[in-house]
Amino acid sequence: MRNLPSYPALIAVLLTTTLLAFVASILIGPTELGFRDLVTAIFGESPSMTTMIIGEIRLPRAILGLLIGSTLGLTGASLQGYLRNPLAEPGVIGVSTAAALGAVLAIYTGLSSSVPLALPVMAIGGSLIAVLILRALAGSGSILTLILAGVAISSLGGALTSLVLNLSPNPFASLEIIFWLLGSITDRSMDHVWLAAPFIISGWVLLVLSARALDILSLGEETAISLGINMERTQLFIIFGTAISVGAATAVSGVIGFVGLVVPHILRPWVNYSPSRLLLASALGGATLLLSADVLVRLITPGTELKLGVVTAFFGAPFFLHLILKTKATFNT
Amino acid sequence: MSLKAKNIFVFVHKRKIIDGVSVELERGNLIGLIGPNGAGKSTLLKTLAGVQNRATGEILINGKLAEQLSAEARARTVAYLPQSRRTEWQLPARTLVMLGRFPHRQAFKAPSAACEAAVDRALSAVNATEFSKRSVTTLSQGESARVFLARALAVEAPFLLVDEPTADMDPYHQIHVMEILKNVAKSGVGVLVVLHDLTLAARFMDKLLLMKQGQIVDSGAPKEILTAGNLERVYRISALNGKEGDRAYIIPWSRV
Repeated sequence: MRNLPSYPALIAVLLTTTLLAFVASILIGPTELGFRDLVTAIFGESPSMTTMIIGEIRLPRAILGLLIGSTLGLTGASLQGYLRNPLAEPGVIGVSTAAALGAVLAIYTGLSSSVPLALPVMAIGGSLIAVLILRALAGSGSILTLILAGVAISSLGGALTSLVLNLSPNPFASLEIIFWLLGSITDRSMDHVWLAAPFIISGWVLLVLSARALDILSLGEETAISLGINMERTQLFIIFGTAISVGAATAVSGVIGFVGLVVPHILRPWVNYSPSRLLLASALGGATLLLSADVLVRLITPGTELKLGVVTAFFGAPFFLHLILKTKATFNT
Repeated sequence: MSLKAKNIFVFVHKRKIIDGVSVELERGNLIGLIGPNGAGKSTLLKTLAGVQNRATGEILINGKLAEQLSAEARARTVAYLPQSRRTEWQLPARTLVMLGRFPHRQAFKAPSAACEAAVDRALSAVNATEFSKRSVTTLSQGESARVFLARALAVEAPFLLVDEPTADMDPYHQIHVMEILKNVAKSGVGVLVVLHDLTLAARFMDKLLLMKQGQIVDSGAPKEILTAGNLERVYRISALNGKEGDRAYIIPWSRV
């Protein structure tokens, strides 16, 4: 057996990397800032250009990176534990797709340009509707039914999004939709933060409350019930927790995929395969990854910034294929 | 102390699986639940464990309706080991056995000394102490099955329900598992085991319940149950009979 660092040590390391990535996200960008600027911005008396850049451009972006990255890591780890499937992700149960559909409708109907708040609100609405349909289809608590229902909702959401794009009379609206779908946290304001944060954090609470059930679920549903786990409650918490936090995150960032897949997979051996301990580790890992990726897109292509969702997909999709091949190999032996 | 089921009916997808069954398990009993495929043995076990919902009938745990107990109290009283014994995650064997202590543990707290001791006892009862640090996915089938059994033993419940503990095992490990269950019963636990292997059932069980089409059609000591008549009527087989000491044995021999 490998010698693993203790759980508190691992969390300490991940906290440090998250903090470093957060500070880097504030300091790195088109306007070069030093650490001194950051200190002045926080403690300085008179508002300056630097204070404005940090307070109104960099800070919201960094906070969103933190919130969304944590959400993606946490929900990925929860769903994988709950579905006992290392390939599970918020996308699997259709929540991301449904949230994206809600947002796309807001853009298509023009609601988002007259009422800016409509975009996030409709995305959260989309993910909640997906959850309610999931509850109706898979209310019995069976994991297989849930996966199948999720696949159905994903396909339906994808088809409806394509339909909206297809019907759009205005090419500019289509372009806006497509760019939004690519996923990014550029040019967001503190308004976005305030709108998303309460939902995201309540989602986290529900997920963390289910942590113990996830451990027992690694023995299967029947054993879990015989050990006193309330499967209906666990399902409710995990699905609603995922829907609320992913819905709010998708609303402000568009679709950013694969973070929830990659991060738990890498960290799992480091927490000795414990599904409950994987939650906090994956949240911090997700935040580190998303914040770093977001700094990276600013450095690689300063002019036309690459979209964050494009970057995560570029690295995530081959990783997904690798995982499938690996899973297939273990199934065959 | 007893675990009692009275007049249980269970429907799955509108099909009647359990058709008015009553059973009683007392501490120290080692009872085998036998019957052909589809007789409802596993469903009955799940119903007793509270994993399967029943349509009608009562389950009494020490004289109290099962529904009156909290989920944790019920989990502490009745331990259940389902037939599927696998996990997706490469958990160390000891960690897996510790999951059996769930109904005794408090949330977000490290396991108590009592829990650690119970896990040690369970591991040593199945001779798994030496590989307790290894990941379950790297163990042989016989070793891994014993670790899962230890998980159920770690609950230290007065009643233990086990579904086909010897499936897919070589004779050595089959006999080993049956001996473990016998010791568990001797220590005062009421054990109810679903068994397909009639030779093992005759050799190790104190009492047998014979099921057919959702009903218990006969019950009693193995030699009273594994009669030529019952075997032909319920299993549609004939068997060879013999005796070793005062224990009768049978070997299923041909279809009839």
